[in-house]
Amino acid sequence: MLLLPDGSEFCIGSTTCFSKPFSPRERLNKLLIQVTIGDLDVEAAIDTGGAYLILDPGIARLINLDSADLVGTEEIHVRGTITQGILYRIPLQIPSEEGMGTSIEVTAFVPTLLPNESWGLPTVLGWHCCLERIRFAVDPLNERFYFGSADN
Amino acid sequence: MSKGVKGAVKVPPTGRIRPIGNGSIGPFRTDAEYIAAVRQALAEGAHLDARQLASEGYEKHPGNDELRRMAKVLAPPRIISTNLPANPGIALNARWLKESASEYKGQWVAVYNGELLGSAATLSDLTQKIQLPKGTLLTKVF
Repeated sequence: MLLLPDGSEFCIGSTTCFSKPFSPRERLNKLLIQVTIGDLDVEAAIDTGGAYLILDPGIARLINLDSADLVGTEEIHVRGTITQGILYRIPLQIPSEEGMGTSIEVTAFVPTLLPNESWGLPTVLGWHCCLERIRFAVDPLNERFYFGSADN
Repeated sequence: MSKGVKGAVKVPPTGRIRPIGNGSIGPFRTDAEYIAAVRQALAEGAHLDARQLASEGYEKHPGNDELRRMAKVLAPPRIISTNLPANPGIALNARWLKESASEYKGQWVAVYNGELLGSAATLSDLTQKIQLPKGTLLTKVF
């Protein structure tokens, strides 16, 4: 694993990452990793310019979100548009292929869709309220995502 | 940008709310003012202001359940554990995605330990037709 100059660990785990567009309309590659939400493993895009874990509403329907940990329907400024949805506090796991995985409590935003409307984006890991306590480093050529807790 | 604030309390746009004196954002007094200000900050994308307002509002009004939930939900993330055992299935799933996913463009796929369990046009169709062992990767192929 990666070490800090004083010899202590920078990270505790690593996993495969992908660099690819995350929707048919995207013209840029995004960085994606596999994460666990509830009992489901999903691909999620890293967005250090974003806020919250933006959870695909279809995925949200399949897991038990605790209603005690929600704020009612809100209008949130997400990715340049006002979107209606619900904020929850949920556990997110970043599983490792090597080393140890990390579990973190984050804020998830689940967009509210109209009937017959579909969510055209993957699940997104924003910085604010989601990744801001995680150390990470990326080795793009070897497609490795190194991570650990920033609270060490 | 913002569609305005729900409820009767009128709050200035957060762009004009600057820290005063002791560093608090304000001036807000009542729990309803704090709740309205948090909502407005969220709608304007002022997520740090929303966090600070929720935290400060709950501190001043600890009996208000909505402010308690807002403060909890908007707080910084909290590390729960850092000792989850490694899952070698991730590498197998990643290999399947790299080598075989392109045949399923536009489909949702379920992959477990590097093997395709099923595919469907929608996530709901996929989850209705197969059992998902814990650790199954669900993803849409673009």
